[in-house]
Amino acid sequence: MYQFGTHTTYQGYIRYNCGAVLMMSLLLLAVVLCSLMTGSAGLGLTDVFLALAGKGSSMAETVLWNVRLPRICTAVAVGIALSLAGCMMQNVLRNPLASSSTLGVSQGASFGAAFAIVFLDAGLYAESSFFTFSQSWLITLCAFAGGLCTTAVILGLSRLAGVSPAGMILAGVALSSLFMGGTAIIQYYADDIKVASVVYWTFGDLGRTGFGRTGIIFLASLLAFVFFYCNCWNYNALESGSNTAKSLGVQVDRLVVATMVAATLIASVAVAFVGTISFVGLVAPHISRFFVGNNYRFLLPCSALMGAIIMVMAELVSRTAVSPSILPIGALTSFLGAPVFLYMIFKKGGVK
Amino acid sequence: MIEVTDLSFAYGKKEILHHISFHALEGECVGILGNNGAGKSTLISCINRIKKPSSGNVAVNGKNINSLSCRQIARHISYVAQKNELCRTTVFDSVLLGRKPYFKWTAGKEDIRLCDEMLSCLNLSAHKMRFIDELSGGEVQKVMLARAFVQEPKVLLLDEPTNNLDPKNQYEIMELVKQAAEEKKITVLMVLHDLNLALRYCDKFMFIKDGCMHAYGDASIVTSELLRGVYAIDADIVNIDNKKVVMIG
Repeated sequence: MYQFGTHTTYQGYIRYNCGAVLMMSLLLLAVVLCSLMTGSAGLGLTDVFLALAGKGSSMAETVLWNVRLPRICTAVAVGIALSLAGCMMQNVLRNPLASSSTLGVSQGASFGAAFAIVFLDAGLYAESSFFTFSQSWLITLCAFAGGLCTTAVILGLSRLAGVSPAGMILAGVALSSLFMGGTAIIQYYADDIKVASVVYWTFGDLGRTGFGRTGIIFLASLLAFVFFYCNCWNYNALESGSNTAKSLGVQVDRLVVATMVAATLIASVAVAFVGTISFVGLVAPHISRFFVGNNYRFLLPCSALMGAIIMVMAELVSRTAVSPSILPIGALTSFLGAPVFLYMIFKKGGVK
Repeated sequence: MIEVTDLSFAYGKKEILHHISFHALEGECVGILGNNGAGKSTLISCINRIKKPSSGNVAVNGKNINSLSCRQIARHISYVAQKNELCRTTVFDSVLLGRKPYFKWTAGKEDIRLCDEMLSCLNLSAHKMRFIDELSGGEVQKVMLARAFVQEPKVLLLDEPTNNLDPKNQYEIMELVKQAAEEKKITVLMVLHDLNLALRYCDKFMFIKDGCMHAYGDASIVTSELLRGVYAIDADIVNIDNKKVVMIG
């Protein structure tokens, strides 16, 4: 925990924060290993390492490479993408409640997916108890387009109508409501199977993606992270207010637009591939602030790692809580995230 | 030295500042005075292009800032805002931000040394690793000044630097500003509401009324008639120890 005043030198403070990033990396590694070992197949640590090296039993390799690893890799990638997006939206919009779900990006993506499932016949068909989407790429593309539409409207409002960051959050709330209404109308006119498909899609499912799609989320997140990290001192300056940031040489308007585009892009990519997953983008940056404060040099990597940790933990619970059924990951992230968030809000000095 | 020529600013069609021109020498403290909404803060914001003026020029040591990038302007002019947005950042990081216009990639050893020196100069060393949102109002304002000073500016803009401070802290802050102006040859432009604080610490006085410059000059221009014209108040000016003091009412 961050103990105020324990660092007497700047070097000590830097060492502490680097240590926090390292500890979170180790924690992520531990959670990933734990998740790889846990499940109905009951693999031990040695089995996991042997299977990873390609020297394990065929059963272990099949379970690891075809079932657990793709889900866990997706969980890590989506956690990183959503938490980075949330962290940066909270900074540039000067609002601690900003995230892809509060800005309407997730709802826009859900609307896009519902449109594709109902009107473009990209819906699912049932094979015994398994669901499969017939044209999943079409759903992904439409969901992505829906997320981008929200971004375009919010950015358009900010640029053309000069809406303030607080106004952008309100615009996001309005757009969320608009897209939710639109999705409800689409569902109202759809048949039972299509309604079930839309509802199933919005639950969020890490099993929909393979390594290829996970790679796309990773790549998008990595590029966004590099951009964000190159601007970390600009974000630190923005924390003091936009006027102060301008006086320190930051081109605030340009930075806000570029950051919002990058943040909503990675959030849209993640939501388009796995469905609506809320709360991770909101809660992971706040938990990280608790450990490393608001210095974006450390907050950015910590938020990314914390998002990944939360997602892997949620994935683990979703697989094991009522095994062999898999619970919807989106519901679980809210379930795990909401109490933590409430605890931090009510604990004095937790969220600032 | 700063030279402002024919500076105007408008929100849409509504003109807020009308053709303001003045100059101030290095080491001088200029108090910008006037009623609320007269355009004082807007004037300050236009000088370092936080707000883009509709016309006019600002030159610092003969260099027109219109031709400079944001980063270059930040090396010439530093600014302390009226309201400080406080977040969970350490005092040292807050001060280090003042060196941002000089960073190559991140803070260097020289930047860290300068911040350490400035913090010890302002007796803030004991607080340097504390979070800024835990400090008192006076301490926060000193941190903001420290950040502005490590920017090594030629011109320092202060928007109501003594806002919400008790008298002791008000005088401490003004002493720091005055001392820095004299020692580092910084031209200071500060928006003030306390006329006596201005008379004690400023070399020149600019009275703004309805976006226009009403009067500009040294202490000799501060008269009862001027104050009646600007603020519509009755005030007596008395001399105590060769210094003017305003008595209102």
